Amino acid sequence: MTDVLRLSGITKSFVTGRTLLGKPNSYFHAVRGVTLSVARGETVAVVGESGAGKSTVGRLALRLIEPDDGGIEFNGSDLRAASKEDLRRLRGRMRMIFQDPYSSLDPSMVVGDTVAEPLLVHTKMSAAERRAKVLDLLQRVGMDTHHMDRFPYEFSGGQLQRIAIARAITTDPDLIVCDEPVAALDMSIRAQVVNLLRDLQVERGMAYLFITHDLSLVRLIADRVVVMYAGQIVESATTEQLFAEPRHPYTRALLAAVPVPDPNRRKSQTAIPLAAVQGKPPAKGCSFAPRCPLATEECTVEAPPLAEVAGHDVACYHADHVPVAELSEGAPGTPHPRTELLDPH
Amino acid sequence: MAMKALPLPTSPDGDVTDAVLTVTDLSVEFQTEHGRVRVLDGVDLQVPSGKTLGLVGESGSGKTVTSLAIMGLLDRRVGRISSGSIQFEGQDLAALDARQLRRIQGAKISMIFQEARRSLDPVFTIGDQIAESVRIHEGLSRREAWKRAIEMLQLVQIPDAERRAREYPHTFSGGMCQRVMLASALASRPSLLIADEPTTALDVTVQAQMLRLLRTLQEEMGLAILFITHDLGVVSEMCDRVAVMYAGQIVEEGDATQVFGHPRHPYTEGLIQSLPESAVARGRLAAIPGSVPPAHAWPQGCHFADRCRYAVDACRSGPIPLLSRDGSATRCIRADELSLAGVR
Repeated sequence: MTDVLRLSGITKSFVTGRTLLGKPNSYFHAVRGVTLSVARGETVAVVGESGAGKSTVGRLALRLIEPDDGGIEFNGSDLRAASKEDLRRLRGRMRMIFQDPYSSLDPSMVVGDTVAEPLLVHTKMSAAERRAKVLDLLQRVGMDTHHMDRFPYEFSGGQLQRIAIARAITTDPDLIVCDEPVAALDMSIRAQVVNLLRDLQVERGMAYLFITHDLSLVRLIADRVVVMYAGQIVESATTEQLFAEPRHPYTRALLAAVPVPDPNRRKSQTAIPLAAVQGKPPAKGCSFAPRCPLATEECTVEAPPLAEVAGHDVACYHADHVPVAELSEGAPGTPHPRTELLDPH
Repeated sequence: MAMKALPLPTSPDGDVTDAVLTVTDLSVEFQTEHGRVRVLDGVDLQVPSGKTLGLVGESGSGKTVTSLAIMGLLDRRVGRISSGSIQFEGQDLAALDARQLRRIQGAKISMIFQEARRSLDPVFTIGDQIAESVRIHEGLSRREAWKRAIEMLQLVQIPDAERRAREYPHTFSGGMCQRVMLASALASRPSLLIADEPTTALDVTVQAQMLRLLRTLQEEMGLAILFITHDLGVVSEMCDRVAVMYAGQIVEEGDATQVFGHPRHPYTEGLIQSLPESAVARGRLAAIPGSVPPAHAWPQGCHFADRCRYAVDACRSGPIPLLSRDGSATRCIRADELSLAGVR
């Protein structure tokens, strides 16, 4: 399987403070050495909590923002070396869908034009051809043809997200970065849009880099999952592996915290309470160590590298020799068995 | 067909428990560009004492309007209660004037919201804000109120409460702000807490902690909670009873285990089946077709009929009443003949 996207050791910091003379003196390290790949037609989910750097990874992948360091390869070509002209050409093959369609679609443009715009930039189609294609696309995403001449404010969130999807697929891209595409939608609409994304992938074979915090959704749509914490990948595995046997303590805590829609399987009493986030992650050692129930001396000295453990890539010294059942709550170093953590539900 | 008002919730051994809050036939109208529009249509609710009632629905279903009506927070320029009663500790809140209401709201009934940070004043310390609410509602002295504020921060498990009380909201994380708001809401020892999507903006691990805290405090204080959310996972985690709202009406009400396991309204079934948890891995989700109609376009008959795969002509002929049986209620005339699927 060939890779559509390859990120290697990508890093990005944002300036959060400047001296009186305007010289940057404090940084937020949003993404720190992230390496991941997305194969043709594959869905890779990037999960993590707010501030983990998932959205920044999505933007870096399309070079919407410039990385500080690391490589981006798209369809085998080096995206960082690409000229403005190359980039413009490549952008037809890689698209993005955002969380909030109210702000991602131009409010002053009728939706027909919004959907047609990428065709104007990336193809030499005539106006008539464009119109035919847009009609076709709008119908494909479940909209009516007469919607073409309406403005975004006339639609609901679910309809707007369909329009945003139509716009994203106009140029038959190889990769779509979906940044929380259904998080803002109502429950009954969410399922419709998820099904649409899934059907389009089956039809057109495009790959998704799917950024989300919704783990139950990930289980349904992703081939592989990348778990991020404080700007770094802490675990990556196939969806089956990750949910069957999460290896990183953070992944386990995350899965254990997802509420299940079944009153007979309540877990608020059983899930591990993580220690609260204490400001910035530590300067050295594992970023998760201050909150981790398994942390030992070793974890605070040097950050564990991503290494393969039972088919997972895990950045944890304790991933292989700590039996999953012994993950515990309470103070570091005082484990007691909690088998509930094994159940991803 | 038996038709009567919503039954009193019963405890597992069948005894009728007492309700802290009883909302009966509550309707609210808004003045809109489409004229006077009914946005809440005959809502019946009961929050049992010391228990949690989950109010579930999508945006526009009326769950927040219901809570605002109970709190007397409806903007009188646009909305008004057109009928119904809100019985709380022997008084009808719908009939009280603003001055009388103020004595109850915030003291006997408090509320927490989704946006915790926005509900805190950035220019006062956390301790001052909690102390202020205690002084207003209980007339405590400055010193006593401050002491109470610190006790409350300890109660909601904020570490190092004495120091944290002197800090400003911007130094608190989202989850901690939510705890502060809860501390402030509980400081006057209310008997009913209205929680409107209190964990929606939180990360999932922080949400789990918040839910656990709410449950612990509920047991300690004997608090009744009206928990408003769109998240069925959170509902099943938190709630003893569940009321499902759709387009301004309660469409189903019952014991949480029963509503999730054996729903008796097609909309409830649709919600449960549309969850990723209900689908097989890599499969399609069972989506509910269409979308929620806006309030001015609600149909005469069943509000859900146009999206319902079980709808028949009778569903559209006229208003459908909420029918109760064995401690649960449904607004579906076909409930008895349908066999609807719940969580597996």
